Amino acid sequence: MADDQRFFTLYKQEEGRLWRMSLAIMGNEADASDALQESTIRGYRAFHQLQGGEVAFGAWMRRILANTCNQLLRKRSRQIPVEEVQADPDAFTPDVASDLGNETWMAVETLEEHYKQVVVLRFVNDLPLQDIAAALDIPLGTVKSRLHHALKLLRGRLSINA
Amino acid sequence: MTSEHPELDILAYLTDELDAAEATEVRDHLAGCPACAAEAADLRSISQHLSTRLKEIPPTLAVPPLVSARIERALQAERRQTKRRPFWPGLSVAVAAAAVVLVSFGVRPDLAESVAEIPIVGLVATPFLQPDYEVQLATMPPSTAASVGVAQRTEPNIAVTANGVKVVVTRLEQKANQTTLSYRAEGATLISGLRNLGDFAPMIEGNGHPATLYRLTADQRGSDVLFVVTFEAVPHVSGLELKALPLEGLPAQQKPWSIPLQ
Repeated sequence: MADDQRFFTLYKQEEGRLWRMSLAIMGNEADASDALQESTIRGYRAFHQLQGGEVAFGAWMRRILANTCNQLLRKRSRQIPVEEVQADPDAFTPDVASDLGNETWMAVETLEEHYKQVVVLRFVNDLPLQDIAAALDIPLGTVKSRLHHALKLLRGRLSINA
Repeated sequence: MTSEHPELDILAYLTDELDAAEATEVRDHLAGCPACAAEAADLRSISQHLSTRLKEIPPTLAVPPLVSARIERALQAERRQTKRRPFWPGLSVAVAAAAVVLVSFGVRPDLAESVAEIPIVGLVATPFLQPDYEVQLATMPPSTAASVGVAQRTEPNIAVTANGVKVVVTRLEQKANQTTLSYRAEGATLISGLRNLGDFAPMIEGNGHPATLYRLTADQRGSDVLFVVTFEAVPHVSGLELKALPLEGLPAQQKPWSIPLQ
């Protein structure tokens, strides 16, 4: 299979995960779409440099996406807030909730944006803590703190048998 | 046991993301601190739950078809710039499944000849002053003043009823650097969001290469939705056909349809 087709096949396998990662970092569909497109083109151009074969493609593309997201965020001067912010009471609406499928996703949607980011990157994209820190361009300690707090919040909002 | 509770490191400990010294410190602490041991059990439980339940991706987090199509077009454009041959021969099944609507253009030797095959009736004022929905998908080149050709068609030749909606192409305008297609979906309701517009949002292709979609606008007019889409210029328009392919991820199975425009 030619490299072009190989890249496309591998990309399509990862597209959903990359999209959700981009959405988590960028915060809205328009910016997430820009970041995913830009990173995909970068990945295509650098595909010949991929080390480790096809099994490494997903992690390789996630790194490119994380770098692209950070560059776009810096360019747009839209830094991820480090300070705690008040929850937006309109952020969780019944219409949105009804599309989310299960109560766990609904509970995640109630989290403030910076908590939701780390939860999605961790449990949807399965990123290690270090990679989340790199993706969001924040210290590792901040990732641990946010994730810990987010899990405590979710623990209180979900009925889970220990 | 250390004096401070290492609560922020417990999750990293559970997933082997601490170095050896840190892991030993946390392990020793958990052995002698019932509160932190309970906290660890709690974090393990919620982590396992999230790892399972958040893998069930809701439709709202699926890749919007237009985003997929846009990225594929960008890849194809990148491919053309470098090698001047199709990125993937024809449209693969994967591309076809992700493609929203395909408007394919046949090829004729020159623009003037092919545009002349469609009755030219003159310019029509744009129907969208403040569209209900507008999405800019790529940067449009500066507009050129003169139209190369404008074709306005009537229903009998260019309408099709599919999926309970009658689609009527009303106008095609060619400028030197833009192609604009207008059409209406009768009996349709505009719902904001790319996915919901997907059934009627086109991609155009000329000579095997899809044209960049610059802008899509949609406007609810009574029981109809009016669309105006602007692409990069497609120099040949004979054999023009508007087609829709089944969409992935829609609640109801959509059937493909096509409209021969000539």
